[in-house]
Amino acid sequence: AESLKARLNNLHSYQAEFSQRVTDGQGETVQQGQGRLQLQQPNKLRWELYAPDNNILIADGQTVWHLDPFVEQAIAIDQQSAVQNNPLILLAEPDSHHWQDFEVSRLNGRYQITAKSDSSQIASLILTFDADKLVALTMLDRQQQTSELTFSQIQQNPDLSPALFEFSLPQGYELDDQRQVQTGSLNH
Amino acid sequence: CATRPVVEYSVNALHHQRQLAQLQQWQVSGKLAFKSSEERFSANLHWQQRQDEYNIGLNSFIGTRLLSMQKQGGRVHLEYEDREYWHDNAAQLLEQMTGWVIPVSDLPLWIKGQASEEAMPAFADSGLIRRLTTDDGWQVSFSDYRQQDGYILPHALELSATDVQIRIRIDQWQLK
Repeated sequence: AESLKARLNNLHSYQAEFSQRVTDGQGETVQQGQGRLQLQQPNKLRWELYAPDNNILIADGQTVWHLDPFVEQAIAIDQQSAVQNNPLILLAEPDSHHWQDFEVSRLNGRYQITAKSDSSQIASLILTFDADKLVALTMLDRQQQTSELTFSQIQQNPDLSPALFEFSLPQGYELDDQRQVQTGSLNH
Repeated sequence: CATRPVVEYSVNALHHQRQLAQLQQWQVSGKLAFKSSEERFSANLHWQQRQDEYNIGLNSFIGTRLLSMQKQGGRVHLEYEDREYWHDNAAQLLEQMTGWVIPVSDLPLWIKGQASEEAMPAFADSGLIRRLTTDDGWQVSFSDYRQQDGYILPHALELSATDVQIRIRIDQWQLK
């Protein structure tokens, strides 16, 4: 896992357009989309799907915000607990202790991140590098459904505006706040 | 932003309904939103229909599978939260296991803009269904009709019953 962490560590920030293709267990394409992924060390991520989906996921280091325009709702989850169900968030946190919950294996330019516990919705994540550029990401879930992202217009270490990782609730949206009441700091 | 030009269709309502009845193999992908007093969520919807059998998938926006439901030979199979169930009534099974009230057995017709037998449809001047109501309390409205492979099909449905609102947006129709 060290060499993957090393690669992610020297990736202070990352931005790319992605095209997403989701195929079910029988190989049928069930969902497609285009969007943009932005990462910012040490623990920030923004995932935006373009029209018609328009969903946005923002990890600001503390909270993962999921903005869903179709139901005019935003869901807030503690970032630390979001990691189990969405190792994507792990990409933004190369030195998070959560890496121990995952096994990392390497096959030349490809890293497979597999959840040790079978309670996480995503079974494994495959990161494909071309030289030191992250060019593709594939998520396999418990039902053998795969979500493949191929990246283009890749910028590694661009400077990204902090506002990209700040969330504000749009007018008229409902907030479903699933965060545990903060009794102590969560990042123990 | 570029809005779709409002196209006025004019069809013979009866003929159009009969034509839709012939459409037995199709696939849609889009979005389903569900709102009730206790719950509000949306998911990406993928629905494959062949005669009266179907394969329905609800996915999260990052592409993970939330639920799948298949009907084969009169039996319904539901996969939800790593558990599998079988039943012969889809809507009942779905409600028991997830709490969501969705008229699964009527949707194969309604998604096409076709009235189910006992429904009371209201047709627009265009001859296309604008709304229908059923005696078990569903109100369904149809909009965003577009031409596709010789059919005129809706791309937006709104369904409501007591304490339940469902919106379906269809992004892509595929007809076999």
